Amino acid sequence: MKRFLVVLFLALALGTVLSSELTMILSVTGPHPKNFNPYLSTGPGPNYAAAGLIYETLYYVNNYTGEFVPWLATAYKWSEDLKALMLEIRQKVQWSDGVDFTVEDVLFTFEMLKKFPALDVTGVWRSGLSSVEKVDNKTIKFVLSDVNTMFLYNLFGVYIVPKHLWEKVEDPSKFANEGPIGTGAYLLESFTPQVFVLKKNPNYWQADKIKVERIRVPAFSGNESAQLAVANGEIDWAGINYPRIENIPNPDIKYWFVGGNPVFVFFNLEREPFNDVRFRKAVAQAIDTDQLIKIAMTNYAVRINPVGIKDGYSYLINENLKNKWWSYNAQEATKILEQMGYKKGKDGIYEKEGRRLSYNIIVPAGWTDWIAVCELVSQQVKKIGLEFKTTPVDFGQYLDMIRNKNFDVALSWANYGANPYIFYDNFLNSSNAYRGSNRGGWIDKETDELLAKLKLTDDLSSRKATMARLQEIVVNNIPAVPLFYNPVWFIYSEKNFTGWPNEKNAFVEPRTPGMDKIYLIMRLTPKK
Amino acid sequence: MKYFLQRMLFYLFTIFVAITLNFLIPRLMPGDPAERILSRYEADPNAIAAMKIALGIETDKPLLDQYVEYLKNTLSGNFGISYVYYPVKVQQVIQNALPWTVGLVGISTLISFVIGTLLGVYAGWNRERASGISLLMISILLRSIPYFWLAMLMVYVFGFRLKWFPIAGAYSSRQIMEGFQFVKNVLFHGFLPSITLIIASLGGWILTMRNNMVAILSEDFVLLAEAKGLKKKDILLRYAARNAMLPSFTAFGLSLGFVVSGALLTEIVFSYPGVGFTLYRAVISQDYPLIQGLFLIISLSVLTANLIVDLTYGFLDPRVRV
Amino acid sequence: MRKLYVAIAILGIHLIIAAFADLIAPYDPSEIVNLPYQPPSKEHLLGTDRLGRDILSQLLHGSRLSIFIGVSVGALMTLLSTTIGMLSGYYGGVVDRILSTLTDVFLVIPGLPLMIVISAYIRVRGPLVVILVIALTSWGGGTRIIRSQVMSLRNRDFVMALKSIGESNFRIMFFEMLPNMFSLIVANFFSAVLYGILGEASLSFLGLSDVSKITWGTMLYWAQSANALLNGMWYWVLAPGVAIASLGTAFALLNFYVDELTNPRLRRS
Repeated sequence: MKRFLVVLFLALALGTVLSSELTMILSVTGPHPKNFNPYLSTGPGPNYAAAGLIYETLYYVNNYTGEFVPWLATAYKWSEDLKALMLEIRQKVQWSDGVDFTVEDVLFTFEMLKKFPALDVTGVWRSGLSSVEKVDNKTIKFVLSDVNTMFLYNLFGVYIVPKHLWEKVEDPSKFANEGPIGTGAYLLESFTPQVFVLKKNPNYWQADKIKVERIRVPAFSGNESAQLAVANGEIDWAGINYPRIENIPNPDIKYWFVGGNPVFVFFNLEREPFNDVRFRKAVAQAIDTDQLIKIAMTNYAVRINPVGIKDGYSYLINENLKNKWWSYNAQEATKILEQMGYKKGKDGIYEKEGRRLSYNIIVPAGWTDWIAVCELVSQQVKKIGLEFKTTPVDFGQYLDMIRNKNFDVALSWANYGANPYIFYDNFLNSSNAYRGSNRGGWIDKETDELLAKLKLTDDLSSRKATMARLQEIVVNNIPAVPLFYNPVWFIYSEKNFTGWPNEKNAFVEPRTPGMDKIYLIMRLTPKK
Repeated sequence: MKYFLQRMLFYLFTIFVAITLNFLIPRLMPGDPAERILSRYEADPNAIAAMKIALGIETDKPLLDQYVEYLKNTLSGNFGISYVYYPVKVQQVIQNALPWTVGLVGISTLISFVIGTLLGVYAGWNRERASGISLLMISILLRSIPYFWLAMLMVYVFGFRLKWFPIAGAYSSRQIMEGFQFVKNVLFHGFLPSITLIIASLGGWILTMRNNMVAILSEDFVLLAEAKGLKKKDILLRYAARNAMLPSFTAFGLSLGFVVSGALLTEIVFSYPGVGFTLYRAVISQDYPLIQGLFLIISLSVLTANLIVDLTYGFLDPRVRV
Repeated sequence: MRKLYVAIAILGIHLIIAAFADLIAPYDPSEIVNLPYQPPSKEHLLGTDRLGRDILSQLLHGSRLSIFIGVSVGALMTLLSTTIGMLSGYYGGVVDRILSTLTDVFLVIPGLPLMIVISAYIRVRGPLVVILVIALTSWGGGTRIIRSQVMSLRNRDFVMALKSIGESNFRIMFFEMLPNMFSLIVANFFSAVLYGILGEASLSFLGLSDVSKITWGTMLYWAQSANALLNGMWYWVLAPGVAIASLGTAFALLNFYVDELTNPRLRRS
């Protein structure tokens, strides 16, 4: 009887708060493993929830707007020589077990990353940090061995953990952290492998901004079941791929696919004829990216401009260069090939000295939308007399082939990172050639010098000038042909909440892994 | 006694082969597993460097040292840490998956065996009547259908269209359930995959039993019984069916070993969180420790079933011991 | 007898389609001819796929590689099991010990998981690899049957006689004994083809073969990855499955027919 009353009471209570409960899909990889360690994220799951909702960073870096939002730190300041960074730590913040959050916790966290490099996922110690010092009870100082103003992006990716609990953990890189204690907006309320629930932390330091009382995260073991749940309106936020989402007959379900990492046709720049910029230009003009987005990516990808600078950073675009941006022009492309001395063979494919312009374009096997892109690219370049044969290869082999320069043409991506500076460094720096996002191997001394210059300053006008020159290099040389931005999958339902980001209200890249989640959730209001 | 010893030795040898295959196959292939897994999540190079350390991937040790260490670990039941479910141990992942498979496939195998064998007796007895022939044809057809395809159709018709049953998973993830409610939910979710498995394996059981029946019915002692004028029912039950059952029971014993792996594709289609589905996840995310652990468990279960059948035969039929 | 006719009829239709796929199919199966995901219409009887390619044309062309892989697996498996079974049964002794232990090992290690594990590691995934993976992991069953047959033939009078006149072992095995086991081997072959067809379909469905090649298995893979069923495109899943099942049935019937011929105990009337 007693039990019955409790259930009844719970049901009543649930009825009143139900509207402010958010259901989200973090993964479709089967039952949840009980792992709330914010540093361990090989597979998406509860650790995604830990990062951002339970543990927090010093600053939140909004990749969409470029804005730095003070979080567990209230201010940062570079020293004159840009070799030291001072951070003011937020006061009156408590861990969810009631212990005060202090400078000691921050210090401990970074010392731990030094001791366990496996946890240093943003690479703070690998990007030039030489020591961390406590200045006073409010201030902490990061000392760098070399000037690197981009260090902020490494630093602000680190989640701060409580010293009084984590110092007892023998090896935090193998620690599943089953009872997470953080500074974040949510507490773990209940956990089973099929679903876990987070509830609002009443003592959160900005509790007044949180209107979502509970977050429910069901586990889905396959795409079909997750997609069906979305279609049935059971999910408020799903970060999953959903082919033909526009066909859902439910008016509450909306989607906004913002551009993520850019996708390119990379050439092996060591080989003929790819080392000739005229050839690369011909290919760039032969590809109709709008058609690729429409058919191969079923309209879910986002258009890219030739310099790969996203809308949020359009102030960095070199306006004087715009007249040199290329666009789809198949006739022009054929003309270039003719000028280069190629003659059309019997089969309609250009050749010179008996060598046909026929190459394999490699793509990871099983990446169905990209394979579709390759098929369409081959059809497009065939029209100007080039043959690109779609060649899906196992992902590991694919990476090996690129690393060993053992390819002609590859469909691949570059990591964008937090902003265009980091993107350019990934994409163009010779130190990332073949191994990193510079997959075609663009090796150029001036480019490297310009990229180094970006790290030596935090002055916008000086960075802008450097970026202008870099864009010129990109437009003049076309190291790779940009096709589109891969979508960041974001499906939401307006049934229970309002305030979602979309084209008209674009304030965040709605990704599920990190701090973007809490920034987004803070802006949601339950519907009455 | 020599027979038993020989069989034991054989199985020990086979286990050794399975373990060695397990070690060799991934190492014969080039590549860097950490990078393969991590690039999938668009991780940046820093994260990859960190994960390599975390996963303890060492490729520069001599192969023999790696092998010795691997043998030691395997024999002590330590399969390492899963990449996908890091930092959960492989044993734990397998332990979570195993009960689902054993439950689903075990029960389905038993039901399918009983129904199939009964139908097989019927088809064998009536081998010249229309009913017996159509049963034979149906079982030949059932054996030729890709069973994952049957599963897909079941999902579509009964799950998606008619909405009678859930389309995926082993239980509902909408709410936290306890006790009887949970059991009911599990049974409800298991119904469709189970029916699929039963139908898919029915053909084999019917055929085995029917052929045994037909063969037995032409044996001299059955002919003799007929000549002596025994009742048909008696012949069917006392002589034919009983004798025909023995090979079927052997097949059943062996098939129990395949319970762990037998429903691979069905589990995948239904996203049923058992061994098959876990193996699939491990394969697509290149989770080598998990693949190795699962393959070993699958091999071991088949070997154990074989061993038990062998030994039982040894006891029952002294002739094989020679 | 009727089984034989039905089997030959089904097989005949499949072979004709495979031979004349270029003429029968309305479009080039790998060319993008319309918008993606078109429902069935007059132009596209089975609609279009993820890329806007004609599904019917893929179904017709897919028969080529599906049949080729199935038959190749059957041939390779039969070759392996016949050779190993004969050597093991004929020579006996140490040769038999080694070979039948090997056979038992392969018989006992589960096939599909082993295939999946090997395919997961192999990087090159062309049709040839698929054939090899299926055949090399699954020849054990046939070997056992052949071996026991050879063992019973070995002590027959005609073999003894040939041995005593100094006939070479090779000749006895492959020219005298083999013809005696012909129907057994043929039955073996048919069931191996069935196994190959289903094996290819399973591996391809999991994306563990070269999915850029068109087979009925890869069609199911693409249908599944485009979420065909939840999007109401059931015909995309139904068609390749029916094709696999009908071809499989043809071989299963052939196998059963030959089995009945060879095994008089199955035939009493």
